[in-house]
Amino acid sequence: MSNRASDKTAPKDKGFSCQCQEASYKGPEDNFRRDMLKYMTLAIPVANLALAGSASAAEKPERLPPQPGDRLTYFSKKKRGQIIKVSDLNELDKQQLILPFDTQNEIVRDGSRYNQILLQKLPEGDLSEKTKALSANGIVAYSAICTHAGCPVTGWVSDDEHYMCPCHQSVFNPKDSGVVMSGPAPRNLPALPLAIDGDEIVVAGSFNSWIGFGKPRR
Amino acid sequence: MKKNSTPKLNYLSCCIGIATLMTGSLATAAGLTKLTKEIEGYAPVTQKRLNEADPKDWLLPKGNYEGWMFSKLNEINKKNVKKLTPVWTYSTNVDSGHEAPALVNDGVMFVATPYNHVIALDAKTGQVFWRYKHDNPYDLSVMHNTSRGVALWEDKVYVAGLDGTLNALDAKTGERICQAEVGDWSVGAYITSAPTPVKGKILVGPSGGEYGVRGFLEAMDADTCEQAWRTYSVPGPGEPGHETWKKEGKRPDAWKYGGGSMWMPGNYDPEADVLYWGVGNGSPWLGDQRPGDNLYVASSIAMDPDNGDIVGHYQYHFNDSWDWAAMNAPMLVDFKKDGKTVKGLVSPQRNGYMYWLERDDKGEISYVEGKPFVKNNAFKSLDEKTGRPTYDYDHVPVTGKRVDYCPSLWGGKNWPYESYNPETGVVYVPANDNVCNSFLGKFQDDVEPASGQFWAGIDIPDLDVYVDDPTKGVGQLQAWNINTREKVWQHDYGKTMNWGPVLSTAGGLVFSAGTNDRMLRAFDEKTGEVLWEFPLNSTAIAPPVSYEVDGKQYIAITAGYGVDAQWTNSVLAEKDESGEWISDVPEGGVIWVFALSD
Repeated sequence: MSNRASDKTAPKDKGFSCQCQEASYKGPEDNFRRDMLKYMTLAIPVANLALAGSASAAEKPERLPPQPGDRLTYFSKKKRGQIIKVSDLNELDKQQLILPFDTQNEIVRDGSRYNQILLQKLPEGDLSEKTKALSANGIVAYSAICTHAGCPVTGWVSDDEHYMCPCHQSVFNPKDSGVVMSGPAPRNLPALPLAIDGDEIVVAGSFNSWIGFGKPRR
Repeated sequence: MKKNSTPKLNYLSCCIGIATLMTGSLATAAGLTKLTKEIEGYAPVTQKRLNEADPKDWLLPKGNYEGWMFSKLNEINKKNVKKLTPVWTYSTNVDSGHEAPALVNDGVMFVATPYNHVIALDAKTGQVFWRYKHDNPYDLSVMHNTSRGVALWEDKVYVAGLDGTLNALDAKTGERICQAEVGDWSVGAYITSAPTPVKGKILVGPSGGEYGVRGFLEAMDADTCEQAWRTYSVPGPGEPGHETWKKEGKRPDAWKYGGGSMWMPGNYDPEADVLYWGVGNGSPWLGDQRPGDNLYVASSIAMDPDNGDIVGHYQYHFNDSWDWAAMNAPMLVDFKKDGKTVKGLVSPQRNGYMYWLERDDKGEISYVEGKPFVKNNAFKSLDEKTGRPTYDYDHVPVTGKRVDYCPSLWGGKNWPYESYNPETGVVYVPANDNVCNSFLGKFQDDVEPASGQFWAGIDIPDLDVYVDDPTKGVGQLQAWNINTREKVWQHDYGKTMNWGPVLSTAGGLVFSAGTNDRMLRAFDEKTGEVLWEFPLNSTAIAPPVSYEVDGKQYIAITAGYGVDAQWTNSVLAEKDESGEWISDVPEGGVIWVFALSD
């Protein structure tokens, strides 16, 4: 019997493939080093090294973190590019996985996993003062990246109205600064300040803490 | 055979030298290895040496190609094991779940850690030669951050990265020589498996069964890091087995993201030149979302190492709906059948059944017998001739309903290796009985498969894991005679799960750890009596191994609790009302090496 299963559509669309030191990303500088290595791979003359560096030194807009004024769109590829509106959200529906969207330049910032965001509408009266200050009409946004091991925190504990990470079951309270309720995560989910412009939800600032696990970026 | 153009990064030392002069930052990126002392007189690992498996060495994750986890060394034996004592330790400087066996080649030890560090040490003294720190991406996200070990071939060491890469290191210096991109971690195809070296190729497959990734095994040329072949575990259109993925229901193209990850190292029959590999669970977990038997999910498959052709298979259960992956390759053993010795395969499966299969030199696999070794309430019976189970559909998870079943999704036995002692014909199985779970099956349409999102058909908060009978324990070590096909003895660990791979030795001993009391134990192979035990710094879930240097036998194991072992323990400890379940198990990787005191 010979029944080999083969396929010529091997997924190679990494989109983003920085090979930086674990938990020590230094932004564009690391891209620089990666690209340098790639050029060396090809044994391109030394003169090309400078070119490689300058080409990658500027951060690509799809990799930039959420910028003030960005709108929000869905992570799901079926709906990516559609602006999420206030009227699209129902109170206490499960949190949605979304991305920042530079509508002026029509750029969805999907170039880094660290731009994955959780969005949810909660009863405004249930929010802590700190969370209320960052929210808009009860809508809250947090980094989706778990502070334990970096998995997207997509589980919704409907009874307790908490978020749960599917990888190692860390539980976070979205009504109170994304604080850790249980599990191995060492710190809160970073929160993203929001504002409202008409029926659109707008990024109003930067995350209030660094994204991801391990040590903070320096 | 398909050969696609996988990108490769080949690092030219001459250019690195030039570039280092130009920029200090480049030196940091290229400096993945810290060399303390170059290894002198390193013994190349040849095919002959891998086939022969000299007991002085431990060259493969399970000690030999047959997957036995057995050492012929007997200096340490039943009579003197009480004198076993630590001779050196080494902190890996990494937390979380350490699941890699120490590989030992002519007195040099190689240990892989979570996040893919590789440490080369003097196996006699514990003095370090070099440490390689893999450059995983800063925004890496994986469900299991572990590494299950390295592969050795000629003068190189191979380690897979969680980022889906397969990396060739210079064994003497730890410098990375070349790299292949095998899996795409950003869609969920990260790698935890130890690679397997066979005839100049290095074989490895990614994880991804919870992410909608179609499983595969890839072979890389050991010298060039070029792809030699890739074989998918789920057949595509026109290939035999594709018809077992029925084009019905909401996802007629379910095969494209049907799981079947090949996430553990395989076994190999050098005489017949046939590989045996395990294939994981279906994705999503709910079988009703991918109608059909779903070959080769939950199967063992036989393959041609030259081109990856699938030459035989056996599916343990059809249309997997429990996450009962068949990821561990079956052990290659001879056993008695109708009074005659036959070439066979034996495998204690995650579904809680022990299987006896027959194999021929072409790779064809046929069913002999299956027996439950823990409670399984989803199988009513196995067909006498084929082993195909009849299901109790009250315990088969479906979409839109909460269903409970035993054993839990972690199975009657998870990835920790069983051991086979050819001198006694006994297999030692690290088992977990009395743990069940229930979950509510969901049709996930809010995210796409293979998008880097958890895609198992459940929302994790809807998973309930529990002990079936709270008065009883869970973790066990079971001994089964493969000729009589009967259980010989069983050791009950009590209120702990057992995540300890097993080592048996010609000294009449069985070594295993994996319990929440941090003990490494030595059992009497015949009776199951605990002859020796030692508390480690943390629970060891890595395979114990044995080797010899300068005529002295050593036992090595790396402690370091984490990943699923840690989480399941915390869940069950929280529910325990007896006060007997230890919940506070420290983390921290430490290599422990034991020998007889003089």
